[in-house]
Amino acid sequence: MADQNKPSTFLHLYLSGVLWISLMLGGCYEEQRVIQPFVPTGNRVVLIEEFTGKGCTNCPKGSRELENLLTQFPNNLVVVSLHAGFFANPQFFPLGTYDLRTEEGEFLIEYLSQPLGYPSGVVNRTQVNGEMQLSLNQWASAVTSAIQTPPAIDISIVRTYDVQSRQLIVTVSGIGKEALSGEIRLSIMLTESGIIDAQDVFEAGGIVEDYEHKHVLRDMMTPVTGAPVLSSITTGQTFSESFTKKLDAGWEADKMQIIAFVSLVNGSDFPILQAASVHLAE
Amino acid sequence: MSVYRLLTLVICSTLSSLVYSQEQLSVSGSLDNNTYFYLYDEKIVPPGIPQYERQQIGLETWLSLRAQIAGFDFGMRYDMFENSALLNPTDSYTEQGIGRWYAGKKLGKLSILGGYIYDQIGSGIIFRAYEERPLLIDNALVGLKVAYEISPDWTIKGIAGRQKNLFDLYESVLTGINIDGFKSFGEEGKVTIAPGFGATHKTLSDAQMDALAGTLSQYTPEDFIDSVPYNTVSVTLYNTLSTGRFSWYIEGAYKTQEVINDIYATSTLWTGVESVGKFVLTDGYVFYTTLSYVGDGLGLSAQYKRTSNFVSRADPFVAGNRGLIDFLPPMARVNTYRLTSRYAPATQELDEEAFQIDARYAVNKKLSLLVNYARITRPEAEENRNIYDELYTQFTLKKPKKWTMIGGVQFLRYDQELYQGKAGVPIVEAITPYIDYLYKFDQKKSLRTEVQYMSTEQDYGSWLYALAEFSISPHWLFELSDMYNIAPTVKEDGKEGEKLHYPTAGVVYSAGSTRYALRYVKQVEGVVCSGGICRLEPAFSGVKLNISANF
Repeated sequence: MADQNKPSTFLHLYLSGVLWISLMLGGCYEEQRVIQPFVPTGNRVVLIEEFTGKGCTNCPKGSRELENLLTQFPNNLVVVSLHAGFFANPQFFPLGTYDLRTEEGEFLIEYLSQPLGYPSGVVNRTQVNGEMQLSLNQWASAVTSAIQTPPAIDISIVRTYDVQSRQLIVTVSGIGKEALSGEIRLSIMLTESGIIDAQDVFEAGGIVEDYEHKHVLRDMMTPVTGAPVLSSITTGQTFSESFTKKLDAGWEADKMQIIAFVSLVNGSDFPILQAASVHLAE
Repeated sequence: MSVYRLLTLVICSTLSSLVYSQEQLSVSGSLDNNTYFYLYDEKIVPPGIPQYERQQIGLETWLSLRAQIAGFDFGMRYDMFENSALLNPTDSYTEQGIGRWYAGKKLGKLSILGGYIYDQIGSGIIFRAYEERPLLIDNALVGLKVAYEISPDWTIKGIAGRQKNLFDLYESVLTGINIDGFKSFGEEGKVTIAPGFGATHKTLSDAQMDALAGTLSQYTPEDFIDSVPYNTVSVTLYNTLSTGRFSWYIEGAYKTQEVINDIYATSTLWTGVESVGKFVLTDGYVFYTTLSYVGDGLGLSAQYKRTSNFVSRADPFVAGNRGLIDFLPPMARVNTYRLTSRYAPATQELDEEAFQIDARYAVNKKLSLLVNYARITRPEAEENRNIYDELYTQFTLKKPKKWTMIGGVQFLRYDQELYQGKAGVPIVEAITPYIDYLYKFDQKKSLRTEVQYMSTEQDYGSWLYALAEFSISPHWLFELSDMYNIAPTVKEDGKEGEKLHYPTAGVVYSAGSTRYALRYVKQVEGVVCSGGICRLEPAFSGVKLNISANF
């Protein structure tokens, strides 16, 4: 009996295998997604909050990617590098001269969720596939996606900086482009580039003492989760808020930027609706 | 009525009717719990870790239940992660819920299983759904498996579903087919073959493809990819040939073109500078073979593996231990002693060529010898090419019923920069002699001691490890050990590292199939590997309680 079954067994196997492979290989090469270079249009400005640290050997790669994206989206992207968390802690990585952490950065790394690896970035405080923290090869995709949605609010920044007193006044004005329910909050960050200090760099094989740190968060002029400006907004509704700050003596004003952004807060969701940036010194 | 209520009602009704049908219901289960009490020690634990800063207690628990009746098989597992460091060594992960359920039935030659499925094709090179709790790997395929016995020696099975992602699912869809067979030749069946064929088909979801296209659309002309396939097919063909004392396994796998994250590839940015890491469109392959001989007290085996661009993930953006569809066999010996297992190599899925030779010889009933050599290279790499060499020797000397002595030396060369991503660190070269002595006082009481010394000038420097384990069978085991950084390396600031002790004291109580283990532990940071998959194990200071039970 066993011998009689053999041809049937092999026939079954052969036909099953051939059928399956034909189906799979046939389907495999037909469906392709054509990739088109993306050229941004419109006035949506997206914010990347990058989490980094001087002890993070792969973080210079993140910094390069930020510059890459800024080159590509000069009018549609603003970035801030937050030295926060494990790799930024000088107790564990006593590198260089400065502690580039801020209280706001340490708060935001918890508020926006701890990254699974560094460098990590949050794009417009919006989750992608359930994740708020994105690895650097996801930033471009998230930025591209966000840019294509017109801003629900337009914002502009007016600043006055007195060199003698180092007093900075920032006024952010906004106008609703569509009706939104939920609290509108305004955040203003001060960043500094051109900070020369140590950094662990994988490609350099270790510590680089004169590494240039860019877009480093120095302080916030608003509360860390934003200053409430409206409980909701309608089309055409406007707001304007001013904040004052005396710059720290150690900061170089001509290398600093003011970043402003508005978020729509609904419970545990707080996506950024629009961002803007200007150089601090005129 | 919600779907869950309806499902519960259907399952309860089915079970009730089956119970009343007077078939015997068999219920079994298991509990696996790890509880950690964190005690901060500034000398070994980095600051900023929430478990030490504020949470104090963390735990992981897996509670499984299984019921079998009338050919039906039902199972469910409840998973809990509370302030757990398993997902991210520097953060805590808290989530709980149903980690697994399944329902299956055998209908003659046909068996059906739906739910969370663990299975593999061949040695797992193109598909392996499995669980590795210490690494937080739970790659169950959530879907359906159908298997059919074509004949007593030939089975065909099909799978379809999506891969589990913690308490969620990845969006890509996976289907597969596997045919396994067995045939013997000769009158006495001295020659046998066990051939197999498998194929999987993966389709990226629209959302996954949109995300991928979004990233690729930003690439410079040098790196640009014009089009990306939605589907990827992996095929494998394997066979085990056994004849007399020889056994030869061979497997070849091929994967069609897909976009994978090549972390070593050079990319050109819009700023004009070069960076490292980008998506590339490529196919991939694995060739794996192992030949073994056993007889006359001699055991020989040789393994060879070549891997090229065999990155197979449920989502193109995930990395590390997440979203693994495949399992590439490790090519180094799995060591168990504390210091000989300190530098274990993770499997390289982009580029790896490796071989391993293992020889064992039983001189007589009292003495046996073992020599193992493993070498792993990256032939296509310009840097970090020769990444792992290990020569492991061992003797086992026994006086039956009285004592057993195991000893040997390990010679190791480990590319720490590549395996652990630490910039600029030198290759770790270590020589580790070890000795393990078990003395039986009587049938119940025994004492096991270990002494190991790792001599190295790299990483943390040299280590001395000693352990004493006193066992009172069948219930009690008391253990005391210390790992001592006896000759620390000189740090970058010119200062010698601190000579630190990492002691452990513990007691284990076993009663039947239940085991309770309570340990005070200070543990140095290291890498934990299982099956070639590794994760960074952070330093630990505190008390660990483990409860495991089968019922």
